[in-house]
Amino acid sequence: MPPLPIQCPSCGVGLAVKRMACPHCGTEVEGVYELPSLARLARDDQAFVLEFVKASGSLKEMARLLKVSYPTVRNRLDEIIERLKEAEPKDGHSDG
Amino acid sequence: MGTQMVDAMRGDAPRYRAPGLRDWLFTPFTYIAGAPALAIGLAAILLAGLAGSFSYTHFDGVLDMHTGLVAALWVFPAEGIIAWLSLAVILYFLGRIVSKSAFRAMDLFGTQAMSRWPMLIPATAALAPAYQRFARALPQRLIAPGGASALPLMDALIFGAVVLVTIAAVVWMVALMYRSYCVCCNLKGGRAVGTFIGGLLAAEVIAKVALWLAVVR
Repeated sequence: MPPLPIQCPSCGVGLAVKRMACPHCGTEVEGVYELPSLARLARDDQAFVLEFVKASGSLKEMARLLKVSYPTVRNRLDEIIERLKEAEPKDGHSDG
Repeated sequence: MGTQMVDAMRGDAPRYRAPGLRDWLFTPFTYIAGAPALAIGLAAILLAGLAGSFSYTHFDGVLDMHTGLVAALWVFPAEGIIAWLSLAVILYFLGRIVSKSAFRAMDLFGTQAMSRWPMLIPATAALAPAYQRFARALPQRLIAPGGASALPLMDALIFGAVVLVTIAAVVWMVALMYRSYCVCCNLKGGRAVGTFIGGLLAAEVIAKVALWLAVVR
């Protein structure tokens, strides 16, 4: 399955979900739905978050797994936190 | 952190490019920090001090290296330790003030110690007999230009080469110190450059005062 596109290839603005389908019965739902905050992250950031959760949120364990230093992992996490904050809707409502 | 550090991510699990020689020389703190960096750094400081004790080479300041003054063995590593701590303590407090990230003191102190490892190179190079002869003869030559005998050209060339190596090693050390500060305190851009330069200048003054109190007085 190809990766979920998160940005418009034409203008670069974040994409919204317009149609969803049930792979079992084929039912389709149409509308305009915002992507969750986590889904709006770049693919490698999502992979990092996934590994971080799997590592029980341990930066030390992440550093060991990725073979990098503790501050490198912590800086990466800080960057992702910043991106998540930027991706959150301005009214403070979080859908992620 | 630059995207080049993470450009090898493939599939579901995040991956970092395996470090090459260039990474270990110029951006080692992406891969090593904390206690291992502290152990390497302290070993390098002590070894540079030991080598300096044979050639009477002093690391008497954050960026200083001077040759010629005879001193007790303990003075040489003590100078390196004071120089390391002066900058590490200053950068720690500056980092606490300007960084938005929570960082570990061990990472900053460890990587700052490891940043001093290039000093091993001039400390070892200064053991060259030709460098020693020229360094001893040069002050006499400057005091009495006509009185002293001519200095051998080869000694002068080797002395010049060691000076160039020392300058290169100091530049390299400062680059590592800056990388350590940026990585450990998660700083970049003008804020990192400005506070690092300010911290370096303040640390140089503090190191000189501390050395005077600990060694000279």
